[in-house]
Amino acid sequence: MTQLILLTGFLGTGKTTLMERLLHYYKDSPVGVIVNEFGEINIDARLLEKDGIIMRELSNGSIFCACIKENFIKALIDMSSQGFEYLFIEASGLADPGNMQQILEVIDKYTVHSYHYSGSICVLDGEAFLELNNILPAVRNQLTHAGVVLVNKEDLISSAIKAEIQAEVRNANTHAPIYFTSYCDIDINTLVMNLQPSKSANKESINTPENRPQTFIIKVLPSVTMKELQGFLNSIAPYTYRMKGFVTVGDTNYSVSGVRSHMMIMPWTRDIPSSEIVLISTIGVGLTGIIANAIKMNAPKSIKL
Amino acid sequence: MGKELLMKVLNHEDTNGQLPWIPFAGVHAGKLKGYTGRDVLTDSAKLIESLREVYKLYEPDGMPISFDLQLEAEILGCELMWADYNPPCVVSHLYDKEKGIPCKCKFPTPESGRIPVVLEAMRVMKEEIGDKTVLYGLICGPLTLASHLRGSDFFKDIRKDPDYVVQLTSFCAEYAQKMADLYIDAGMDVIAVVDPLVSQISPKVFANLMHEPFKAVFDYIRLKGVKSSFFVCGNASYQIEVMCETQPDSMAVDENVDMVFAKAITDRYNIALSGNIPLTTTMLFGTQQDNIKGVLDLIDSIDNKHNLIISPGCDMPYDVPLENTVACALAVHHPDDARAMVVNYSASEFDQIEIEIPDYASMDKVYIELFTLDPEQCAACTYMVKSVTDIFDEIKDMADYIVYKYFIKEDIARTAKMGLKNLPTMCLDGESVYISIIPDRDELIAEITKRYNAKHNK
Repeated sequence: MTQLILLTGFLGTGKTTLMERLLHYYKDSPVGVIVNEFGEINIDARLLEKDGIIMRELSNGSIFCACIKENFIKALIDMSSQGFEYLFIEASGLADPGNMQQILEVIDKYTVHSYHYSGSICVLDGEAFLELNNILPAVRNQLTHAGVVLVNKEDLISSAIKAEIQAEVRNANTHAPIYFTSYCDIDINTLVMNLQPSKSANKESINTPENRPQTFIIKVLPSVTMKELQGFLNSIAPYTYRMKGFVTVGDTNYSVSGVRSHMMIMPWTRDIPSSEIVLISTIGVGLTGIIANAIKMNAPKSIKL
Repeated sequence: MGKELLMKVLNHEDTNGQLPWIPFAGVHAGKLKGYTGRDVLTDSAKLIESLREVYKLYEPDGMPISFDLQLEAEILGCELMWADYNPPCVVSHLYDKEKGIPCKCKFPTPESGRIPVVLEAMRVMKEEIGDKTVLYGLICGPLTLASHLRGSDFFKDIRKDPDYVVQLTSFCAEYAQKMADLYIDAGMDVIAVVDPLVSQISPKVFANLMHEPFKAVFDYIRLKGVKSSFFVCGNASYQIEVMCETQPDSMAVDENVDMVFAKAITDRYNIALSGNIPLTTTMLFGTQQDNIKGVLDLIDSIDNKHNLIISPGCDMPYDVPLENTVACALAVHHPDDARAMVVNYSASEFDQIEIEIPDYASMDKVYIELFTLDPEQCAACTYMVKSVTDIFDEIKDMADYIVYKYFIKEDIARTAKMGLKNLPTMCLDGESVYISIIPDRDELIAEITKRYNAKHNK
């Protein structure tokens, strides 16, 4: 039997960081990974690439949405033959996992080794949660269906905010243990041992193809300077849920990860697939004009759509 | 002439008064090769063959690959009704009973619906003529696509449910961006966002609800490094200003819009304006003279020739006579010669010139008379003359030929005396056999052989 653990959390909360910690902890066990992104390019899969780990990428939609649910089901059935001890699934940031257990019931008769659903770990961005919780139903639903809640970025919030978050989380989910962390730094064994499937009733996911936010892919030429890149990203940050990707500046590669005004541009020592950044718009097609202006103002020759 | 000229205009550069010409030959392209509209919109080989003919005969500085505003709606699930001599029309709407937004998983791919037909034609034409003429990829605008999906209630929604309108047009704008991606990847130089319904909503509604989706599409096209155009049909005079606000590189209007009025506005925004030879009164039902005169009058009416493109008002009707389009091409590219021809058309002095009509029956060989506007400057005329010269070695024992030019007084008088209304025309022994149709070599050899044999009772 394969233990199936789902990682949920809005864009930029730290799911990939947690996944890295999980993979490190279980490095000697047979584990599989499914990474889901609703953009066309699967950046997180690149970040998680490691030798010997069987990974499946599902891009261009939420795995709980009709648009790629079929592919998700096929991947689950396919990976059930691998005899994994654990299968970790990193859901896209806007995933509503309300129908996860229903999906597992449907596929049960087709799987080689059956799955045991251990539950979902919902990672929250401590700094942004209170604001997003009221805006995005998917964030609320991730919380409702969580088996454990990990409130990340603890270092950035006051104790008053912590108390408020604690109350909001309890309001949405009466059972799940709550842990406050920074950089998802938590004892993995404790986390997994305390994980349990949500007691919330199964519901149809609210993920529909219509409410997928628009994504844009920005191409960054090596001629870009760090100042130009930062200027560009800062100009568009207020209009995005998330910015992530890999870029080449001069002859150095970097990973880019931004959530609203928080931007991390870190040296990346491995090869990158292409110098591109995925932007997830909070304002739909309106981001097109913002990108156009940001390019014009900051890097007209070295950043393109 | 050619790509360089049109690109200069689209880049808002000076062209020394030279104007580019774009024949919007959609289903009409099929007519040139004897195909129906449906043929060219569903069969890439027939479309390519037809587009080659458009390029050959109409000498375009720019040309669309396909003119079909229903292609996107069909992919999304609307039913079409097909006609042989028109583009299809949408007859069922996805959301006419209940409001909805389509699945984003239905965004277009190179395999969706009839897109492969268009992409194949784009690739082939790009390779064959892409360095000589500007190629246009036409996409359905967000407003027209939204109304295809929702049906006529969409106009009620504009008043009653603007939030839904915003959602649906945002989807359609994103869809248009994906279509633009496909066509840009296939080598298109210009993406034209065609939205005839813009003329049906007030400028205020456009500014409030349509500005953002349209601007997002034009911003996107610009970011992708190609040029854009905003095509509208109908009386869009009052919408020109708000259309300009969405910042396309160029705009195309039809005969319902006064070009002088529109150009005064587009000039303020430094947007190139394309138009507006009347589609039916002039192109479909007019004579060659009407077309030449129509184009010259249009050019003369506009003082500022900067940022100006001459084109039909919109998609040309299927049955537009070839010679009328040829006349437009000639008038745009060679206005001075065309001016002389117009004078010739209306002058009566030629009636006095003595013209002797040959005694064809007594001639030993078949006599081929090629009546042309100008065999050097009119492409259709060039090809008609070439259809004879190319085979002349094979037919020289059976036929002789002569070329008449409509800028030589005697030839003008002869054309009139022969009662010819359209040029180019090929007469065989005094009978007009090929009127604006260029025969293929085998057909012409067979016709001449038949006539020669008849003369000699073989």
